[in-house]
Amino acid sequence: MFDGIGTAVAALAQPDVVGIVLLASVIGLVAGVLPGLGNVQAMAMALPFTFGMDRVSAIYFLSAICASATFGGSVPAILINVPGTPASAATTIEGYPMAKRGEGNRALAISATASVMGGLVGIGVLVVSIPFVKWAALLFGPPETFMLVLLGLITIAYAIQGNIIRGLAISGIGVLLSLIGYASVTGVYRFSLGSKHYLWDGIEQVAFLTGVFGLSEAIQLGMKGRVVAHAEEVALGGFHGTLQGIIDTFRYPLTFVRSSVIGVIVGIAPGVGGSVSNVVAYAMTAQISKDPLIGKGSVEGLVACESANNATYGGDAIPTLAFGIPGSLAMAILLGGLNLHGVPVGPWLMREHMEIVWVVVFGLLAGTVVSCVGGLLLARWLARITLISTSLLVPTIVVLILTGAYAIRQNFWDVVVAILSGIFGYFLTRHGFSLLPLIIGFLLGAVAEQAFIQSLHISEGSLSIFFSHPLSLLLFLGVVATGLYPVFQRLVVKGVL
Amino acid sequence: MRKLSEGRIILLILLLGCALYFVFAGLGYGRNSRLFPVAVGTVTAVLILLDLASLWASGLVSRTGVGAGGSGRTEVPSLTEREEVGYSGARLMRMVGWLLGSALGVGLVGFALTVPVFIVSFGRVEGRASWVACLLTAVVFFIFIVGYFEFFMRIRMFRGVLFGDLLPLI
Repeated sequence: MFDGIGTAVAALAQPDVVGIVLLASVIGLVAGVLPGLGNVQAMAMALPFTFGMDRVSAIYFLSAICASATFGGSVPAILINVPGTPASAATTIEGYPMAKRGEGNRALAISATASVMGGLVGIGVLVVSIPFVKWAALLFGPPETFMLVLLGLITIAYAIQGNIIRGLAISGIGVLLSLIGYASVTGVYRFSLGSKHYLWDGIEQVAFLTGVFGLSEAIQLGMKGRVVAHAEEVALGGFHGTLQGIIDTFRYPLTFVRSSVIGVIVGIAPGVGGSVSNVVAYAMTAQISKDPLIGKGSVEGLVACESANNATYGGDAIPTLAFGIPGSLAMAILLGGLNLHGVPVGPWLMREHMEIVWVVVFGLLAGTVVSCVGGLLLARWLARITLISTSLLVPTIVVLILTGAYAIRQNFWDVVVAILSGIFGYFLTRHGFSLLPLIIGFLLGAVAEQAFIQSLHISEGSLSIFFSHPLSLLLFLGVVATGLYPVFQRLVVKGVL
Repeated sequence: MRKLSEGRIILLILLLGCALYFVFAGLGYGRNSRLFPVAVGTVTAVLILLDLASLWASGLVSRTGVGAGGSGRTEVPSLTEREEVGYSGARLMRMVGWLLGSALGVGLVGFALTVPVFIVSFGRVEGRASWVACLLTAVVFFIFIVGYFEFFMRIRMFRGVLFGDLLPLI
């Protein structure tokens, strides 16, 4: 279980890695504060910049950004009633009334403490689960891997998209796009549209990811008004409020534990993240709590929101690291980072690269702690970032993404791919398609094909291999059950069953 | 709403064309090479056709409706359903134009010139940001990009075809 932990800890003791984690936390914090941006966009923009880093530093960088944006989103949610990220939506209900009462610092301290504690619970669950998922990962051969990818795609298509047909269709497009170029498993060069050079290696993953997530967001921001947020700033209160807030968090241990568990469970479920856990944990607390201030600036309500959304990352990381099925968009980008740095994703990650698993664990932990401490100290100034004009924010996002897309392979056409991907991503979002099934299909398509072809080689061309292995059969039944569940649900709704 | 419906149908037709390309192009490869893409392409095309059929059958895009094979869950809302404000076709075309213009700029004169010009021109034209803010942002990003990529990472950024760099072969 603890193999590889030494490498991760030793790296974190290096001054340059400490600097990278601090920088990542600031980037995540700022992205979290800015409404419209979040950890997904920050990670997408930062991904190309990890190209010059070694593998461990790069994964520390991305993990820390991933964790730090959530608290960043809570700062404007509390101080100006504008959630910086969707994961802080419910935070506004309790945080902003507290700030209006002149208890801004107290609310921020509750948010920071609950975030750290929630993050610790999530990461704790991740660590405890490592031996079990590592053991499970050893059971995966090619047929099981293929069925797992299929199950992941169909689950995410249902969980995220809501319409399983549309979700699967868009993940199918992602899989097909991943098949462009040289197929190592068959040694054939495919689907190049006549391109003899550029598409030899397929569509560049970083250009595609940064375009789909970053540039599509830039287009959306550009379509909005001139300033990211307009709101009345409120009083923070003194340092006494900060101390009071830290103590307050420990007055509601049951709320904290319940909300953190909700956060972890929501995180493990594929495709749903902090935006759901934040609301679910708050709604449950609002129903149970006897606090008369619920909805008007309740400490208990704030503890619930903030512990849940940060606990989600630990849960998100479990399917991502164990099976290569990302639990959220941020984890999909992290998988892209692992691919970029030559780390194989899928069940074999835990067999061969346990140090990377620990790097993600410590990166998430460090990002949470640094961002919360930094956020408390810099809250007053961070809230002002939301007043940045989009007319300056949009071109800077575009410039970062285009230069980053170019830098990976130093090929001008990657810039064009990033732009086309951004426009494609924008239209998909505009017309009700979720980007997660597309990206997961794109990231796992080649893995699925390799597992599929290898399985057929083992069985000498017989598809029975997918049903003769017990685990593969179990996963297949999971695929069928997930596929039929919406039909069953409709029949129940119509009263047929 | 009607525009949104039409847009979604057009998008689905384009995706259908994409899936069919993989099916028919895939048929030209050997058995092992075509098996997976043809299977995935066929399934994807069928799913897109089902989605299209559900759109046509309902006559309009339902806000919370369940398409063929849909669930009782609320579907992912489209942008216009989430954000009624701020959308205009002309503005979208302008944004796309800026992006394509930036690629054209990089292709012609490279990153070093395009980055500051793009930041200043976008800031001034789209948001009427102050000259000082635009110039300051442009200078900071110019220094960051040249400093980080050219000096720290030792990556030679594209200079543009007008300054002697050749576009790589497609």
